[in-house]
Amino acid sequence: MAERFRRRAADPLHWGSNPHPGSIGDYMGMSSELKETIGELIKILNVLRKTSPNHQMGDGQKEEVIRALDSARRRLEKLREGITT
Amino acid sequence: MKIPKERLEKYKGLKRDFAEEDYINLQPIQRGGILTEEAMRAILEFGDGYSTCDWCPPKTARLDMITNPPIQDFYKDLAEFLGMDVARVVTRCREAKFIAFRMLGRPGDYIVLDSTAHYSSYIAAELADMKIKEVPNSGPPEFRVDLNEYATKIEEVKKESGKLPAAVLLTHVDYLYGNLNDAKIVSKISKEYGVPFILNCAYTAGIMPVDGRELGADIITSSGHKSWAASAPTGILAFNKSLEEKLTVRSKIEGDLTKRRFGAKELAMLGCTVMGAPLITLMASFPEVVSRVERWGEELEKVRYLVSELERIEGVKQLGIRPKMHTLTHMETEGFYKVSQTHKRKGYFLYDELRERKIVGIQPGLTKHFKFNTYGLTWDQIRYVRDAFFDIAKKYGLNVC
Ligand SMILES: Cc1ncc(COP(=O)(O)O)c(C=O)c1O
Repeated sequence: MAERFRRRAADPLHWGSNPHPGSIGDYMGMSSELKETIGELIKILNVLRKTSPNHQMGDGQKEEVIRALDSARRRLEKLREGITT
Repeated sequence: MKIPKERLEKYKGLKRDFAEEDYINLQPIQRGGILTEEAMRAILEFGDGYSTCDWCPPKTARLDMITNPPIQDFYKDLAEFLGMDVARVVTRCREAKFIAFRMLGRPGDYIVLDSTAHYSSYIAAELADMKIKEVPNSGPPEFRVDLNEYATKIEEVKKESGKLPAAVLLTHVDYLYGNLNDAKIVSKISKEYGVPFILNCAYTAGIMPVDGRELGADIITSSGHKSWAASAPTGILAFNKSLEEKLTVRSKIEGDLTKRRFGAKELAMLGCTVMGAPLITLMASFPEVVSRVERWGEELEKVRYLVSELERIEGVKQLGIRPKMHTLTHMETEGFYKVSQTHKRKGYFLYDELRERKIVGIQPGLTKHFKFNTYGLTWDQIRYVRDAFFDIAKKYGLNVC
């Protein structure tokens, strides 16, 4: 049984679908959540690139940055909770 | 050999002095290669070595056969986008040119090329053991390539060598003046002679619309890190069906002991070409590239505006064909040169002044002439650059009319 789960977890076709708490599947969820968080921060870097060098942002850009920061914070908090509970 | 730890320190936490987030970078070769958000994210997934090769099909183990990530589809879409039949991603534009020369000709053959071609076109010919024949340009101030002279040069090659050149190459937009050449003229001439026509789109494909079919190109070469929002090294070799056999000929070598053969591998690609992070950035940026070429008109408006503004400065004049048909621009700047003659930093003063204003990419030491590229700058950034130049001109007593 354990062997079957190990094989299933190692098979890329089943990535992210392992239902067992504490198993490899959870950490895969964590890594994709982390990458999503980095993705939100990359959005902000891109706003900085479009507004360099003085970073005078329009209202739309400010909103975009705030949305990305909020989303990143929510994701990080969720990840933190997942680790401590 | 063991390398002392302290010597390895410098490789830690590598940082770029001129991060795109902090500076406006006008460096001509860099503007079209700035990564998209999608490409930056894709590096997180596929930055590791051969990570794009997880699903390489064992029976046809070749990059263009991989369907996850969708490399096979990408090659097809890339060809279609360029109006060509087949595409391969290679390491750089120069490699694409080398492959084309090497596979179309033999050592000693000629390549006819424009006299504003990039050095890498010459070196690609040299490595392929070929000779070159240059098509002249008009010289200052336009440096316009005399495209009809391709016929004369083909005739010269015929006379000198007794045979036609292996190929003709035209630089679609040159790296010196940003002149856009009319590919259809050269295509017509090469078709009349039955010589393959290579259009070097290093500065065009990926930032402006390029349709190889409409332009009459047999081969298109391009540069991912220059014009496709991709990391280096990435190049594109796209071609028509009629040349497929020559360019994608398979390996025939056989081990003398083992009798091993590698018949699935394309010889000129050395089996597989670019895999991993560079390829994935090219793919991830592709949707944005497909849409950004439609906004080329606005890019031209921006560069023309900046040129006309900078020409208000005493002694500043755009070189090359007018009006600008490309964002790469060469300016003659007599006024700044005069200032440099008495400045303690000599030619470096302009670079220093710009850098102080967070603008980089103008070659340090140059004041008499310099090049820049406005591709992808926002209108606010264009105005910021203009104001910085006005500010510097006024500081040193140059007239701004
Ligand atoms: C016209 C032209 N072709 C080719 C290249 C080289 O491109 P790559 O680095 O992809 O070989 C350059 C580089 O400046 C260029 O200006």
